[in-house]
Amino acid sequence: MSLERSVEALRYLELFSNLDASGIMSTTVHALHPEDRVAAARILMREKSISGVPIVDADFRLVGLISVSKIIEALADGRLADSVDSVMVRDVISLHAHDTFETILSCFQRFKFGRFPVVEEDGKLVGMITDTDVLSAIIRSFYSVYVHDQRRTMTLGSFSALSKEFENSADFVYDISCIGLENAGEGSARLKVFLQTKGFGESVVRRASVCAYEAEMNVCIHAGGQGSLRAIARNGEIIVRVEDEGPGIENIDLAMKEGWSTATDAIREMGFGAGMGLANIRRFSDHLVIISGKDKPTKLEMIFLAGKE
Amino acid sequence: MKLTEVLEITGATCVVGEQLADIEVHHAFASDLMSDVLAMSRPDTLLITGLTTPQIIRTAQMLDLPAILVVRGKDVPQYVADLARTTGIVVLTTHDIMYVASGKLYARGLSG
Repeated sequence: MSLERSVEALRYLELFSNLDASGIMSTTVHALHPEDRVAAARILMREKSISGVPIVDADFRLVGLISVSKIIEALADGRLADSVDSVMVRDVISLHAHDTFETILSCFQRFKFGRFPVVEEDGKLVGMITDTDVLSAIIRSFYSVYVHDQRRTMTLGSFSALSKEFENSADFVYDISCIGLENAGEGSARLKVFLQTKGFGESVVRRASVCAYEAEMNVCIHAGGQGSLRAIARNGEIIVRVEDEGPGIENIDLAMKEGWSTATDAIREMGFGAGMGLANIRRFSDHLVIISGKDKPTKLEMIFLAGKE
Repeated sequence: MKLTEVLEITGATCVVGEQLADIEVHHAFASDLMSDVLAMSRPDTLLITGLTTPQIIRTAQMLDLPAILVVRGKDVPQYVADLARTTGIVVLTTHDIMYVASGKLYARGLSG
């Protein structure tokens, strides 16, 4: 996440404004004392799968940190039997328990370290924050906002990938079952008639039909011909969802590029597979979401706004 | 341009939709790539193509194209003709190749 002061960035920072270092950090901390041997640090890192060990005094106040790179140096110099004190970093960049999410992020950006110790006012070590901790905190935060907070729509607007409406029912349902390409397009043809009977304008119906047809062709060409075409058409909005069982789109960015295709020559002879399908869909839809991946089902959702002509 | 004029200019015959021969088209688009045709998305256009698959009918249907001119004298399979009939799309065939058919129509004022 960039910390540029864009409106977007500030919006997300506000979402996480209730997170501070004490809420993000791991409190299970493995620390050593300065007089411990470097070898002990090496064993601790290996056993706990951690990349840095904070060093504390008898009162648990942070006095240093030993990282993997310091261990490697010590190993090369044959100093594993030396005390940690002789190899540790002393001017440790640490966070305070009440530091904000924004401060923590800027620390990761500025210093490029994988972990930061968290201390209290008196310098006592209370936790560690790794990038994994930050990520977990973000995910927890999203979850709590989703469940409890009215701000979800405002904040997660661009993340609400797929429409919830389809979970209950759809106004139009067509099971795509296409062997060869002979009946490819039948679903879209029916969808077009359905949309016309719903009273949508010529232009929006044409856009929705063209996109549905391209998506249906994709199912027939690339996904073994089995899938579903569903639509919800109400309140001046047409939502079309096309789903299949895979094998999925390995690289969606590439697949969106005009002229890029994995279609066979046989498909090309039918007039398709020129790598325009998804590009056309993007061109004619007002909102497009594709969720897919290698060996995954593909879910494609397009929204067409009747007022947009 | 009326489809009757298209028939006359390209020496075409009407495979489906004789009764609709006085329909007018305002543009033409010549391609064998249906996705390119779909990208154009303009009604009142005559589709000129060398393909005779059901996809030419479906493409025309999605785009509200009234008619298709099949070039190089290809036979339109019965099931494709049937699909054209049920969807109300006129299908013409000419012995001209795509370039010649396009050139003749363009020269007589049917723009791209």
